[in-house]
Amino acid sequence: MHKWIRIVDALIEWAMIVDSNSRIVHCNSALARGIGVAQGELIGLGLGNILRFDSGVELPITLVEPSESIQAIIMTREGTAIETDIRSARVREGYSVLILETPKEMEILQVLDQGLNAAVIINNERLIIDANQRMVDMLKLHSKSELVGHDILDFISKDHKDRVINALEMMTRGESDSGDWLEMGIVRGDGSDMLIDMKLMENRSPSSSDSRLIIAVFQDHSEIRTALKRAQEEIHLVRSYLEIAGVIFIALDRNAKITFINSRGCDVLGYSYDELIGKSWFDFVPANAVDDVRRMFHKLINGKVEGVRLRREIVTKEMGKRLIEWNTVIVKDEKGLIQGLISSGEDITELIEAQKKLEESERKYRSVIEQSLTGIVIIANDGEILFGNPAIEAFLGMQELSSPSTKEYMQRVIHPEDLDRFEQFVRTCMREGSHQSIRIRIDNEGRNIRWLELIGNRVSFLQEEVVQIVAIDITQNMKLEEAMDRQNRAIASIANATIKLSNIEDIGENLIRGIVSAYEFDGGVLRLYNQKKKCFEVAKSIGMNRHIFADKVPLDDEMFFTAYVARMRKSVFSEDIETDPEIEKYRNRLRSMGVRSLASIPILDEHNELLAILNLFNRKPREFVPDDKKFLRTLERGLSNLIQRLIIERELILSEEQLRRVMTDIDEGVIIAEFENGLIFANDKFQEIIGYDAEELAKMTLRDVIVSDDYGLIEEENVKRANGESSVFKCRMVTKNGEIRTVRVSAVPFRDKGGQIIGSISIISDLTGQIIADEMRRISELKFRKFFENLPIGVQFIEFREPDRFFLVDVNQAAVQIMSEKLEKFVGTNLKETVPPSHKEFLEYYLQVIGSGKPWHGERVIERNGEVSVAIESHAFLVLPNLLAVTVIDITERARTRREIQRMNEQLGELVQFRTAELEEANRELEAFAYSVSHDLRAPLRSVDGFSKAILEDYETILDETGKDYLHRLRAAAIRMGKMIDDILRLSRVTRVTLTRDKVNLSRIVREIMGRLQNSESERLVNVVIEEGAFAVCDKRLITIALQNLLENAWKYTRKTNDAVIQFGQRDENGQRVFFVKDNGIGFDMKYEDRLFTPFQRLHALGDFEGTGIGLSIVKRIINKHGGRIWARSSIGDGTTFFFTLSE
Amino acid sequence: MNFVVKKGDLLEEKTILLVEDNQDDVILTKRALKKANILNKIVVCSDGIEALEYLRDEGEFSNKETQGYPEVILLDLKMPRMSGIEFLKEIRNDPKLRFIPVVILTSSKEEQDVIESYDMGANSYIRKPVDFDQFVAAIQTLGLYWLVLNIAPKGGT
Repeated sequence: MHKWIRIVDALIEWAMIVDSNSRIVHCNSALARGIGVAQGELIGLGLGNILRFDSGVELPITLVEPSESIQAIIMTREGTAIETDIRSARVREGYSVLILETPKEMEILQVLDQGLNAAVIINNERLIIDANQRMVDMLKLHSKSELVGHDILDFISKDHKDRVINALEMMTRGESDSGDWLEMGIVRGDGSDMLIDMKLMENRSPSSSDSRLIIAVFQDHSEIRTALKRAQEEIHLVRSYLEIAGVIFIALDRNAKITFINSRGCDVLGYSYDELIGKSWFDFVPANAVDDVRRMFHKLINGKVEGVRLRREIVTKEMGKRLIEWNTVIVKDEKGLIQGLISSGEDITELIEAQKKLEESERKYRSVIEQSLTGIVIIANDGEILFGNPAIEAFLGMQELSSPSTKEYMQRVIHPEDLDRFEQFVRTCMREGSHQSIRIRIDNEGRNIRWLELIGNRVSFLQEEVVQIVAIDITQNMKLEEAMDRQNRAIASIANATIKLSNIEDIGENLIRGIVSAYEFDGGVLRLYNQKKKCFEVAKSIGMNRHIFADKVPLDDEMFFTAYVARMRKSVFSEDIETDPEIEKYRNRLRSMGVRSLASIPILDEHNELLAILNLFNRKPREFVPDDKKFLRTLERGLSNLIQRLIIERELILSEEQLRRVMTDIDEGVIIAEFENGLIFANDKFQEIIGYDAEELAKMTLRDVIVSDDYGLIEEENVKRANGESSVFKCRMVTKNGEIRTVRVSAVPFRDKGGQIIGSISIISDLTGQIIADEMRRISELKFRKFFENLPIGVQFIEFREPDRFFLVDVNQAAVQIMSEKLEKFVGTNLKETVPPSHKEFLEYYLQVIGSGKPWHGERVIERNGEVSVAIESHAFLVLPNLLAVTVIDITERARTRREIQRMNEQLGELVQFRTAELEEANRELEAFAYSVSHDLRAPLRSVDGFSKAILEDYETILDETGKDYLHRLRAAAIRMGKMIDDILRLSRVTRVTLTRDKVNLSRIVREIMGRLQNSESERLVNVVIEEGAFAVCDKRLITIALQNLLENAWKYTRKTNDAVIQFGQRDENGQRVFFVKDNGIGFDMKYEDRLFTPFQRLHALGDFEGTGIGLSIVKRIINKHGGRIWARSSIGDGTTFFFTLSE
Repeated sequence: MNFVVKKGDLLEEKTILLVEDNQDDVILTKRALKKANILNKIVVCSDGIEALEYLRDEGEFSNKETQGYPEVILLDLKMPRMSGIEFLKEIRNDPKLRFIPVVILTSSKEEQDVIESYDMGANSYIRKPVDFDQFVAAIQTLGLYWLVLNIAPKGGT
């Protein structure tokens, strides 16, 4: 039963379930709502309570055919009667389901009720028939009843009422059955306005036009916008996916107008989206393809083709063409009508270009292979050539390699000597697979021999194992190598010729033969220049009939080619005289001699004077590689010594004895040994080296003088000699007195007159001295090493390597002891990496030493708890440009002592400071005392004097003479004491004052003082002698006081002298400037000299000379303050001289 | 040069203020002034404080009869309570008293005293010699200058 209830509930039609007694057991919500009752209200009611049937209908209703129905009227709660058709179905146990024909508007309302939009249904008179709950809510009303029966315009704002009327009229006229969205202001129950969109939809009842109903749907803009936005976002997402894919998407309508294109499409075409939309696609197709594209478009749009995949070009905004691979499908609407096309396309322009490039590249490489100078050939297992590039064809000198006869041809062109090796090579390549190489000669008839280097390996070619060979033409290289070889051989033959001076005939012959054979000439002739006769004479000729040469060639005979070369004084090379313009003049003559190519070399001495001309010939054209020419040209001068000697010898007919003498004179040992006869010659030097004389040597074999260990070596060397080779080697010889001497042997083959090698000529240099020197050096090094090891000073050798690395090379024991046990571990390391950071600064110093070359030294003191723990003095200096020696000395003791002294000094300083403070304190006290004295001590004196005077004046009449005298004495005493006080103060002031030194003209000061004294007693006649230009660096104020005192003394003590003379001057005494003030006054007894400068000590009675006895004390203090000295010389009656110095 | 000051040359109403604590010196100074024919009224104050009170009509001088300021002040340096230098500083900062000529009359010829005195605006510095005759000579010169030759600024005193 429940199943049926669920089914009935799910129906949007009105439906209910009744039992066999036609009582309602369930009704669905659509029915309940439709008639305005609650679902439960109907349960239990008889069917007759809500339905009225036409007559003739009996309950229960049983309808057998589903197509059958009965008419009934159903009453709503409001009492409205609604006609309906009922269909029924019995389900089980007497229950039946009744489905009522639901009024259309109810159905719509049902739908609307389930929808999101507010809606009302209005009739022809614009009266609202029904409204959904959303509508009620939107208008802020309480129930539907407030709406039903009202004109819809009542709820429309007055500005928009016309709009509604117009829309309804249009609808009535049938112009549209559903309008557009209209923006509409509505008036709500609470009086507020609201702006919303409204759309009118007509639901025309099929029965009559009068009963038409119009549904007004209201929709909030914002919701649409949100939805749109969301949709756009989704589109964007899809698009961006499409962009990522790099695919062009285009949609075309039936008229080939673009309705959509993605941004990739825009990019490729170069237009903006707006520029493209609505344009005909054919505008973007190249003119020559438009017809084609149009045809295909129509095929698609007319359904003849479902889809197509093809490549087409498009034209971009810049009029460029892009190649696109399109995949086009047709788009149909739901009815199956073709709406347009959608194409996805991929820009394959670059791809195609890349393919083209690849093709070009392929072609390029192919052409490289084909046009390469490197030959490439592929050989099948059976030896047939499968492929050969043009280069190899050129190498081999044939047109078409892949012809059946190539194998034989190959065998023919490869040099017979190399053929076996070549075949072996091919087999090895096939077997081993890896790279193999070989050099072979190609000897194509009528052409020069070419050298090829072949590099082969096994490859798969057309599913067959083949050998691929790369051939490089190394003929040029080989020519160079041969040239080198020829040079070597030529040098060897010249060397031979040089040594074998014994045979004059041989000189020329060896020379020419050597060069001719080395350089593959067919012949040659050496003509010596006879300076007296001014012509060339044949010395030797090889390979050509002697008689074809002119015996004598005059230098100025232009007919001869030799004469031409002689005049040119430079070598002439002609690879082919037939084509060589230089030779033209001599061509016929040379041709008649059978010469086709030639080299003609003038041989000149150091003054560029002609000695000889060497002419070399070939009967065929030949080639001279640059190296050949270069070497042969060197003969111009290289042979001059030889030829000079040849000429001299030719003239002198040097005997064999003379030759031997020459050899004997050489300062190197020379021996000639024949393979069979042993030593046949040894010069004096060799005899000296070996200790045996010539006679002794004559009886000995070489073995007798060779250390037995070196026999093998000598044997090997003899073999070389027998093969015509020269070489240099070291061996040890035993001297007569058993000493072993190491000698260097330079040996060349020794030939007999027929050119046969019969022994060797060796130059022996004694190396023993050198070796001893080496040994000495080694010992010395050892000695120094020992010295280094045992040095009490630590030494480190540090090697510098660019840019800033220092390697500790070596350290001695002392360094380890002084520095650290660890030091040894650092040997061989880069100090930059190994030394602790605290020592890094030294590397900076070392770098300075390296940079400046100047030594550095410094100290490093390590302290612990304020005490010197370790102290090291270090010196770094350069031994070699990149080798530093760094010495270290343990100065711990020294540093400790120094520290001690420093500490004592500091203590002393403190003491001095303390004492100074004490002294300053004392000085201050003294000053206070002096100040006090100056004020207080003098005041009573003034009273004594003042009142004595008052008594003398006021009481003159009652005082007798004695009384008056006493008072006078009182006054005098008081005045004198006042003076003494002043003097004491002056003295103390002198002591206290600080010295400021300037350059002072003493002579002038003396003159001024004497002037004043003279003025004070103008009646006195004193001869004043002042030496001018007495300067001193001193305190001007103080020196003036001192001089004042001295001069006043002199003035005073000469008072009783007739012809008084006062003198000031200076003199040098033991390099010291001494000033003096001299008088010829009464003088004093020198035994009282010590009292002279003591304060208040007078040497004369007060009655004789006034003064307090303090003046000289002041002078002495001033002089002492200057660091000077004062002394006096005097004798009674002869006057006094005061000397003083002012230390400068 | 020897000036002889005759009686009547100096206007008697011109007062001399002698600031001196030593009574011996007061007697001797007065005697010297008399001998030098300086007959002006001499007011003696025994230290700086007293002298200031006198000048400002304060303390015991609040009812003093004499009006105006002294023609010259003869000032000793070493005195109890307020030294001569302090006194000098005081009157030189007083707008009413700052133009009164002050002659330092002291036993000291210590340089520091001389410099300090002039620094503070002393007009003369005379060292009292032990020899009374010399003292009289000095006083005579002093009187001639400050009481006869010198013209004090008007209204300043």
